Amino acid sequence: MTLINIIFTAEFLEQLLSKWSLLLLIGLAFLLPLRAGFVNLGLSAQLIATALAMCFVASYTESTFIAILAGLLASSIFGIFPIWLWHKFKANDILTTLFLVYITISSAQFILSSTSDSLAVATPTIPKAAELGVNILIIQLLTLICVLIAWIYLNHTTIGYKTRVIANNPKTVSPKERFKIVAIATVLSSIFITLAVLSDVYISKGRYDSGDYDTVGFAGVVVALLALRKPILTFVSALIVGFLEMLFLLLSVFYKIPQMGAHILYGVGILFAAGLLIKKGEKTY
Amino acid sequence: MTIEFIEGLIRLALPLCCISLAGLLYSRVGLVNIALDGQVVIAAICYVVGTLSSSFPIGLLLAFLVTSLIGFILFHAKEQLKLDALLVGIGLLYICYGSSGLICKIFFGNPGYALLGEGGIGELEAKILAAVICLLILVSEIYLRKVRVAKIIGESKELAIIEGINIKRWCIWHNLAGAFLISLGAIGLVEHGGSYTGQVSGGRGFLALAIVAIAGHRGWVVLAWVILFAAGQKLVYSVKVPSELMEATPYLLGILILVIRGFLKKN
Repeated sequence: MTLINIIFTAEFLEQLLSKWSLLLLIGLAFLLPLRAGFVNLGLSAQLIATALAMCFVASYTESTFIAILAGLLASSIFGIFPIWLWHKFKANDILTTLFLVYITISSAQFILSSTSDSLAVATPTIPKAAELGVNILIIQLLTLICVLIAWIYLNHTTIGYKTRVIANNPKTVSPKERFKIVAIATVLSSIFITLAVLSDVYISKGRYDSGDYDTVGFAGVVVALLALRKPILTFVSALIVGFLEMLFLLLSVFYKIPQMGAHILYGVGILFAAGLLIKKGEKTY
Repeated sequence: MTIEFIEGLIRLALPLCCISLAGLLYSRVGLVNIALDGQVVIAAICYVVGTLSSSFPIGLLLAFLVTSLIGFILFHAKEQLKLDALLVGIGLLYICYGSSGLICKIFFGNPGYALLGEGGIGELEAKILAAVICLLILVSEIYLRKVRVAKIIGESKELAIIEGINIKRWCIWHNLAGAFLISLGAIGLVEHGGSYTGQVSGGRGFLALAIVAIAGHRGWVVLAWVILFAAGQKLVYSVKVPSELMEATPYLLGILILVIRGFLKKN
């Protein structure tokens, strides 16, 4: 079977749809705080924390509802903590969120290697009693609704208007008010992250394997920037990035391109995405 | 505070100092170089390849050329093509990480490990290199504080244009100087460990960005924070911490540095 033939199979399209919904939700999660002027590169940290919280709580309590709540709580804490540092200590948002990612990756590896009984470094599998008996297509439909929610939030609510204003004019509101607006945007983005982990880990895979979410946060950044920071366009940008990722995966399988080669291709893809966002302006020199 | 502690402190501090000063030089011409960590990693593998294939000067030259090329692409993308610097930085970061692994696999058959072994520099050469690095740090500090052009470009590009300063030329010089410092920092890391690994940078590129964010345009503040960080890391190494958590310590210290700086500024 050739590469072109595989792209048109039902399995490929199914995988693409899963990847698309994951990237779209992560892209939206990056976009909302970004529109409020906060650059959150810590999406991977939120995803990992959410996945760990959901899987461990589900395996101990065997309750879906509590597991989802735990995931939402973990996502919100990991989202709001850098904002609090930014508000209280003027800590650079890009750096604190980036550092949080690497701290979370190392801590997750430690937790998983300590608690994992088998050779696979992963969370416990979601028990049958805690399984969510929902078709994955429903979650993917919810993803589309999330795009709409984000669009309405930013363009048709007072708080959404304030969110957009403070990005370019932070001094129009008090620091406390600014913190509140950014925090609300982050809580909403945490809901998107929780939904992403719910569909990808909880429903599809049944557990979280160490390393699954280490770099996916950056993909969300690319999706949001490629969408020109507009929620409606994330629909298309997530599809493009998802397709590129699937293509790189197929290339690595078909042409034996090693993992690091895929990294190079991914980096080139990001540069290409940056090229699409060329700002027209005066040259500095 | 024993001689061994101080020696260990210097070994830890010098590479980070070089990388941080490189970050400062880049920021002085208006570039927050997100790809800094990637440059360190690719400089490290290029140094190992060059040194084992030929000699130390070739290794250094190779590391310098590759690092300056990355810096040049970043500058060109930001200044000439007006691309999103964050996105370009992330893209170059991935390319650096991927390329390093690929180079290591091609030359050593293993994407994540390359032993330098006897091919590295000797004890005396290491001490001379350390002295040269200290001299360069001093020169960089004098340059950033005293040289009028460096101060003007750092303050305002518009002012620099009014003064008739050729910003492009200074961007090139800063890029080359930054690339050289990054190469030296990468060499320091490789020589310290005796090998190249995929984690050779240990997040120092990102830590350097944190230090530069705190230091503003002040070289001596960079030095102070680097020494503080190195001392912190030395203390952490003396405690029995699991290896996975050990990898997180540079980043934890980075957040601590940013918090302390914010606290001091507030009070």
